[in-house]
Amino acid sequence: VHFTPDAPQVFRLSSGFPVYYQRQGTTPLAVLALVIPRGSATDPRGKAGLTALSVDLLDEGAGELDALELSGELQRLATDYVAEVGVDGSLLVMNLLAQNFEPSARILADIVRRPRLDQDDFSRRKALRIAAAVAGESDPIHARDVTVRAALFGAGYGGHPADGTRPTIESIQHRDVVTHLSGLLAADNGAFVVVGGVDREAVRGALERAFGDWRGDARMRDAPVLDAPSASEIAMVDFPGAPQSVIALVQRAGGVHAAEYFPALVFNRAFGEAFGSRLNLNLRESKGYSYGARSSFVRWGKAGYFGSFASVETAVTALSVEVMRDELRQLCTERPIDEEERDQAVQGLLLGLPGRFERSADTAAQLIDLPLFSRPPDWYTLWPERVREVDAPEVNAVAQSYCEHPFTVVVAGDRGAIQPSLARLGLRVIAYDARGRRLGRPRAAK
Amino acid sequence: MKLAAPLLGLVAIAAATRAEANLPRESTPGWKVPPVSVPVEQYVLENGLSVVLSEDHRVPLVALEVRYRVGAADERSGRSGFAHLFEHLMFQGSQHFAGEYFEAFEPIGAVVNAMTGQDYTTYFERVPSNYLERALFMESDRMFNLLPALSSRKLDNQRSVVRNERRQRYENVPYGEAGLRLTELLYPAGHPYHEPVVGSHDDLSAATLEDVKAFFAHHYVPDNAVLVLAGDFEPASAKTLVERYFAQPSGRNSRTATVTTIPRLEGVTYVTLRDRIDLPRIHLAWHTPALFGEEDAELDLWSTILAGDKTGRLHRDLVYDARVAAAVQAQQVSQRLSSFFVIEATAAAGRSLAELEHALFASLDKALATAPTPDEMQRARNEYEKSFFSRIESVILRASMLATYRQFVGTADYARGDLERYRRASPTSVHAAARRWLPLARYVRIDVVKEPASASHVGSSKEQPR
Repeated sequence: VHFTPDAPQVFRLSSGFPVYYQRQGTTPLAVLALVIPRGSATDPRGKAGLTALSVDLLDEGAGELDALELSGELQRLATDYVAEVGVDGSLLVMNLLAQNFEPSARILADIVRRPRLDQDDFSRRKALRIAAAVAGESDPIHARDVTVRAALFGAGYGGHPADGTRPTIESIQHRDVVTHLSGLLAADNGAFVVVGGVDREAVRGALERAFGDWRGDARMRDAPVLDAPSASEIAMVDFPGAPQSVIALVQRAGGVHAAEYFPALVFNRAFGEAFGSRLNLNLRESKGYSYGARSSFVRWGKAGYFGSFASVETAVTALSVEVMRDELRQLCTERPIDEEERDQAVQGLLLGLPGRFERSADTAAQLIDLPLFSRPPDWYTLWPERVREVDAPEVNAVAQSYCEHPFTVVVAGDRGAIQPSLARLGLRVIAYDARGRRLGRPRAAK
Repeated sequence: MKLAAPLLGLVAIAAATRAEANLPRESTPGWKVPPVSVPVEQYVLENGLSVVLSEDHRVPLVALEVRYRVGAADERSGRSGFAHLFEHLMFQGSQHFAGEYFEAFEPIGAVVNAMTGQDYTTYFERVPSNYLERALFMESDRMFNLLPALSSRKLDNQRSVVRNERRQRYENVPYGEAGLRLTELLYPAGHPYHEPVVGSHDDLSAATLEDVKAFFAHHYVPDNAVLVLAGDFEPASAKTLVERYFAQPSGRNSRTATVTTIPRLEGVTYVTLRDRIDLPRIHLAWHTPALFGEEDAELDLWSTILAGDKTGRLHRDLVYDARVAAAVQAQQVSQRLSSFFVIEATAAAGRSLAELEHALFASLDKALATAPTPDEMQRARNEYEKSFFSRIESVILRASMLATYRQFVGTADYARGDLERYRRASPTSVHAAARRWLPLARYVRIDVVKEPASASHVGSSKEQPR
């Protein structure tokens, strides 16, 4: 099977606004996505979560419809609407029926161009977001992820989750949202992505009528990328009584445009992405410490990180950190990625490509990255060749850059049970509670 | 509810039937259902294996699902979690492929997984279409030749993995214990659904290699399985391959059909769990009719009318107006023997369990008093009709849907019938089903309230807590 994704057609509305269009599928489903390349990196200092709360408020009444009327109208059209905010962008996505493309696009235009932003709706959505943040404090995986971001990126770019935290959301006022959206919601550098069983000219006509005169410049600036941590340490989040420890070993990496991008895809698949990768075979299939262990690169526009992740039984926390650290160390010493691993990883990536374009929603999810990260329309057409070109020395060059210190180790687990053994790993241990507050001396071990 | 009906009364691959499961073309208020068809061909091998084929050449992918009609409901006493533990062992190699099952698939970019429920255990792969034969060989080898490759070491290793899965999915997750306790409280001891699928640590620790061998011999036989291919393949060559790898003589499934009535709750069963959470949560659950049974679809629609979006009756009252809840969800959990309907409401920050409870029951009282409006019905139906298209767009979901039809209805050619259930439902029938099956005097209630995790406490009461 040779599968090369088609490049999407790119056309422009009369305003010059680009539309990435791909016809696909035999079902009546389609996706309409508005990509605004401004995300949580634009949150002002101390107000993490402002972009997410602002974008969340857009469908709480727009145009002639209040929040309930708008929701009901979308249900009548069988259109699902979801808004998502990442570090670099805000996505407003509609999964819809092709025949209802035009009325759905009209509603999207109201959401973007005529949101009501009522004080009362703001208070309600803010309260729900605070509740979600409070709920997150009970979840070790959420706590681990928040801690990873803070440890690697501090108060700079990428340093907080898009949703913010309890205190930062509490600090957000209605006027902050109104001001933020006035700078965020502009046509400037945005794009539509449309995929599915809908005609190109129907798309053009509907978007022209709804958005043809939409213009404007954004007035937003991303937070700066701060320096990476220079020393290895363990950040521990205390969850007393937890039966497992949620572990991450992380290091800073480049963003989506990093030169190592393709070799790193191959490296990661061999090291920790696949079920049969080194990390999972060791921690799960050999030792039985975990239900699963994985590694991944998280890449945003301007920075990213590489991490190894696992949830392990509390009693083997320190042992598991050692195993994970040792797997990385071996990459630089006795066990570099060999030719067979490289070949299997490349083949797996290439043959897995069709699955990333199976459904309209799958394809749309891929195409969104093109305008979001200023990638060319033929990015996925050329992708197989770029993967195929990666050789074992390139893979091991990537491995070399992640096999040694400085690591940041984040562990969310029962401090009393695990701190003594973690302290023996020779790294400085800093403990926090689930709300991110620094803790004092440890309790006695159980 | 009986097991799936006998399979067409046919034997041998020659007795193939072909059907087009056309979706209805008539219009409904709101939108017209486009003419999309799901091609279905189904037949039975001499050894009893049901085979379902559904071609789709959009993308060079084919999904293969092998569905065994055995799940947690078939476990014997003292062996809870065994069906799921066994599922893990199916990935540990077979006689003609000694390695990890994934090893054969990851170099070809495949998606591979399995799932165990109360009623079935299902294994699936999505592979590039030119690797169909590899997938068929791998599934057949573990269907016919698993035991020679098994060992105590593999059992012990996967026992550890599964116990960690239990910790990761339930014990180390906020509110997770409620998921373990719900079936135990809904279904009396001895009922097939009494134990949670993941099982207890004690029972998992007790499982032996002899248990594994007996379970395999009893349940993992062709006439207790459905094989579905969906996606990009040529039927003639696919049938040849299916025969080559699966037309092998084998033992027969000897289990007898389990026939149970829907259990009846007497009053309120009330349990409080303490967890390391800040926002109290209330779960309410009722027994309801089985999957594809009378009023199953009505209760699906009712769940959407209660909490499908912002306009859902409970959502509007609790989250939008009173702001006493941060979230509310409702679901009809459909199963073979009997289903249950569950409502889950989480308090907003700063709101108490008592406030949530008061508002929740008031809202439920009000919701049950009024039949759905035609507009509510149309919007709820839209969701189900559209979800059908989402399922057939994915070869994995399509294979799963057809396996479910074959297992529970007796024919994979049931797409139209499935949709018709939702189309037939009326405001009156939905309202009647809700009133019949969700009485406010008989239900199971689990509250989860704040407590340090190390001090878990469970209390039980038959008292009406309202």
